[in-house]
Amino acid sequence: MGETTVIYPARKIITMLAARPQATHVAVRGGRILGVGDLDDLTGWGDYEIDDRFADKVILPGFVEGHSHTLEGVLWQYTYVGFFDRTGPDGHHWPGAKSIDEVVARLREVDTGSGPVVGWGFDPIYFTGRRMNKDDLDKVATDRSVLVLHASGHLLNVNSAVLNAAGVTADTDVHGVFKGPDGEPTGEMQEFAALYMAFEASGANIYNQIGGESSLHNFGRVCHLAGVTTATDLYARLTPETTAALLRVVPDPSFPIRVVPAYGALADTPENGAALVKSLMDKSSAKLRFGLVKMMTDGSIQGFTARIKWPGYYNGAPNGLWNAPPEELVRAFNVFHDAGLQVHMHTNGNEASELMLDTIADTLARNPRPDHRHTLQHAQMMDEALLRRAKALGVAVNMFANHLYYWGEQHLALTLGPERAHRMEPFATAQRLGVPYAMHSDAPVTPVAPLFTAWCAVERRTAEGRVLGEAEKISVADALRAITLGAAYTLKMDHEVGSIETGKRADFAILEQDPLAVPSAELKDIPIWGTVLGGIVQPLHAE
Amino acid sequence: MPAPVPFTVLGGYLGAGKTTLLNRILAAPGAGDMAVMVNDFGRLNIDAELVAAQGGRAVRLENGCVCCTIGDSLVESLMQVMAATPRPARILVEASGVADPARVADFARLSPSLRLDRVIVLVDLEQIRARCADRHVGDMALKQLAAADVLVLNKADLVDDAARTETRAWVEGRSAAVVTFEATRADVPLAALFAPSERAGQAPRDHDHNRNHDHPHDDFDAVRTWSFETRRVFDRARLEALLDGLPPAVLRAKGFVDLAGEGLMTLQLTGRRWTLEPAPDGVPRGQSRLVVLGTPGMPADADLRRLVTGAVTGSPAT
Ligand SMILES: [Zn+2]
Repeated sequence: MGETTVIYPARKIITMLAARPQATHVAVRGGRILGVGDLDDLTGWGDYEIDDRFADKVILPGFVEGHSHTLEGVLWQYTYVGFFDRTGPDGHHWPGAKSIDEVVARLREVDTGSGPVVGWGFDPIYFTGRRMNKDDLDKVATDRSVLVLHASGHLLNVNSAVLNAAGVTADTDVHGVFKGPDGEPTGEMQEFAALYMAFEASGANIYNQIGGESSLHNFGRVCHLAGVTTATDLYARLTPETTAALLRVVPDPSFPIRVVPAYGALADTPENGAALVKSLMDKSSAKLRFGLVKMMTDGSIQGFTARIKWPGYYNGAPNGLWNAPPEELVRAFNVFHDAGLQVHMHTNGNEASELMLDTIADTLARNPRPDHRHTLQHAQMMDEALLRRAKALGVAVNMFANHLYYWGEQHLALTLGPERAHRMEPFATAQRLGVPYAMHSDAPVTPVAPLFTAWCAVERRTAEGRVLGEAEKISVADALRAITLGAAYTLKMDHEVGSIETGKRADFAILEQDPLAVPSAELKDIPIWGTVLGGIVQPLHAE
Repeated sequence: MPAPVPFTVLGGYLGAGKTTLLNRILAAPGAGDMAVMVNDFGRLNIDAELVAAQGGRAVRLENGCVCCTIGDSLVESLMQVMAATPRPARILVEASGVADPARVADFARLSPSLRLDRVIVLVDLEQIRARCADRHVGDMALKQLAAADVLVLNKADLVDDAARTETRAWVEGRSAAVVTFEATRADVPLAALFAPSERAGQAPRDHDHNRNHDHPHDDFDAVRTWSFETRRVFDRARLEALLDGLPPAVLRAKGFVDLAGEGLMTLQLTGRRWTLEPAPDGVPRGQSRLVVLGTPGMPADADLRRLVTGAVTGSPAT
């Protein structure tokens, strides 16, 4: 057949293949896996070359990030000021900013002296003492706007220049504008009206970059650094412009990942949306896969906008918000299902998860479709009964493991209280009931890093080190499966990627250590050498 | 700094008549260059062509957003609308059926480039009590009542007097609205809707809270309007004669007219000047639509109808 066969010996190959969980050699031909086993199993296919650069590495299937957003690539055009360490698309490691002074210092450092200064990912929940205010940000600049967006997605800080430009004063009596003891606005505010005011006053605009080529390149690089070979953009606008950008950028051999955009379904009528997705499916290729639909139903738990059932939020906050009237969500789901499409549904709170399970049950009774793989995304508060229904209905869940670490303490103290916080992200229950499951980062909400995500599901530790829900821990092997084959299943790509077996695409994550051998507490720290995508070797650093 | 753009919020649950009212507002000639921001997720709810015919712009809002939080599509869309040259003369946001109109109104309370007009909340008189008790949306339906400056108690024809009185009292007890209308098919005096909110929330700045203050955009009062539709074609010579002979009380006319032998044309009339140019692609053929604006002294509707039909031939549209 004229194509070269390359056999890669490795310290260990973890296949996710039940018939042969581990191996030492993998043969690649024409971008696909010819076979996996020991050398003798593979030499019978004819001439081959041995490439031993992975001889002391551990090979896993390339990681599949089943819930991320290319917005990650937009935000990196601004300055990261989060509490936790994070790596940018250029590989630069940004240490977490652990105090207000560190945030201010970093913004001063990056300031070019012109235009607005924008920081993102600010996360003061672990700071002790006072909150950041306009005086802090005035140390960055007084003649220009300074904006800091919080990681929670609901708050922002601005400097005096922004307040002055917008005429926000002690007399401003608007929801979401925080005032100090002196009655003056502190510069901290919440809600979208404040965000609009700050963007308008400063001239900053993160939106016109979404879906653009540079954001895609940044997103691809961030994924590559984490060992990801397939990633979703799980709420894609899919306008003619952003679709054209995807078609230009992703298929290029130098672009490091496969991208699965899920059509964001709340902009147009479901009939128009279904027709658009179906027309785009003809444009799918090996690296770019159209066909998924994403519906938003509620908000976020940490923002108190998720819809949750009785007894509601632990701190007494009112119940959250729907993204659209429930009957419209129901109708839209029916239209997409009837069009033969697979629907992913953002449901953070259990009321939202229940509404969509009710909907799926009614729809399937009317129009059964085997192997639909409709998937609940986040599904953070599923109890056993909801999971049993998911199993009975053939619904998959992709749970937000990273929340245990990033917001676990808040869930314990404020949003859900102990009992419900301990059983968030119920991986062990899903496993025991046989519900197909995956786990995700929801980047940019938290960083793309599947080994970290797996660590969260295995260790279930909050940022303060407390274990949340000992009984819902799963094994390293199960977690690794969730970040590969488990996620691939939810994308209907498990016949192509997610395991190392004959016929599948040669997508590998190349690790420096064996995740099954290191102590599970160190899973997140395993260095990544690089990836292989469709047989193309993609080291992180020049060899 | 340019004058702030009046910003109107239209809220209420599904089925309360938001679309009907929206289309009524759009059909009124005072609408002018209004940017109308709507949710099309459930169904297409306004006639974009009608907006365009009035010189306005239709903007599609999206509730879901990438950060799994809610509402930043309005941030994005509003930035686009306000960056356009010229800025729209007025912005009307249709809040989704499950949005809190108060949070949408906050945009104008905070931004110096916007002036908050009244928050209009439509209520389905027949359904509202059940809606407010609904386990999924009851909390939001109540927030919507609370946020209203103007309550439009719609579908009054569907309930008897006793129920209407009782429901009205029940709703008003849950709202701080300054004006309540009972209406059928959302037929309410538009001028009362487009006034600065009594609850703008800002210290007097560029806004004037005086309700009687004359604002250049509040022209719903002073202008009379008349509209006309036909599926028959116009005769060019007779139409030109009509346009040349209109009294000065007719200030503006806009629309699409199907001319015999020529096809659909866009008509624009301002004062004494008018143009007829081929209508752009995408405007549905087969029908002529005309909106006429004038001072209260403009000929009566029946007279206008007689004048205009005089320019129509007996032939159906092409
Ligand atoms: Zn998301």
